[in-house]
Amino acid sequence: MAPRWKWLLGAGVLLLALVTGFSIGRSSARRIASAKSPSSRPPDFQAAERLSPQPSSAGAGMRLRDDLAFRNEVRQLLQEELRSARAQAERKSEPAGTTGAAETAEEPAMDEASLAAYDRGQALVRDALSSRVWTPQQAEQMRTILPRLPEERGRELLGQLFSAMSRGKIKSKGPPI
Amino acid sequence: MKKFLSTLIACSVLAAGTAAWAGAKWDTEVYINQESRTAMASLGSVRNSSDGTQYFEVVNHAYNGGSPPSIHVLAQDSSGNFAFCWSNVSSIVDAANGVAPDAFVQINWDENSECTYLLSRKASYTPPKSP
Repeated sequence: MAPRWKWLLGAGVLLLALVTGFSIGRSSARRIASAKSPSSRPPDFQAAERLSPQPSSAGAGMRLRDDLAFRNEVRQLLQEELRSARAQAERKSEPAGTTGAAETAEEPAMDEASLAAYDRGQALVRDALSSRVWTPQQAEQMRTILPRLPEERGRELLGQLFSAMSRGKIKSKGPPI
Repeated sequence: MKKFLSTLIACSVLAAGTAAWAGAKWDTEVYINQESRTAMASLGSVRNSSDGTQYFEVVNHAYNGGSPPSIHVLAQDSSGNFAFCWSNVSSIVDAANGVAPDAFVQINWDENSECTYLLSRKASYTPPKSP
């Protein structure tokens, strides 16, 4: 938990530093560009500049305010991102049972009776695969096995059977279960 | 002759009227398309079909442990092609619980055989099961 926080904070600070650096670099580049001689620019650029107002100290002040606003905006975004990441991490670290039944439903460990039932079910499917037939008697046996298994294991057994039927490896002579 | 003609006309009118009152009747035997992962059938049509191969069933499972209720649907057409899907998603399970005995049912599934859609229709035009 603590290392994850440190990592998140570190990433946030690094991102802030990068964005701030980029912003400073951009304003410096603007200043350098405005100091350059007009003749070093393409002719269409020069023509456009002749028509537009020349840079003034008021314009530079405006750019500075823009940069400050930009930095504030980035800072706010970063803070929001960090808040969101923190909330997400807290939700993940909550104890099981408080985040909803669907997420926390874990399969119980199988006891010996369940394991034996599962083995019998596997044997039934194996037999059917070798005889290529699924009989009503086998279906009945499977129906007695299923209630002794956790849902996932029962579904696994039936999945093997139905997949084999789907591939034409087993033909059912009655209701499949 | 005149009497015969009037009787004939009366019978024709009556027959035509009877046909109009009967309403639409549409059969849908088991249809499976593995490419679009779709299967459908009217349960009555399947029951009344002439072959002894096709069937369509919707099975509910309920547990007294922590597992949520689930369903599986199996379909086999008259050629023996087979399709199935599973779900423990409550909306699909609820829809499966509402399948009427003579309903039309359609299922779609994904690559893991999870039901992605279940349509259950109670309609006047689906046939009832005859014995």
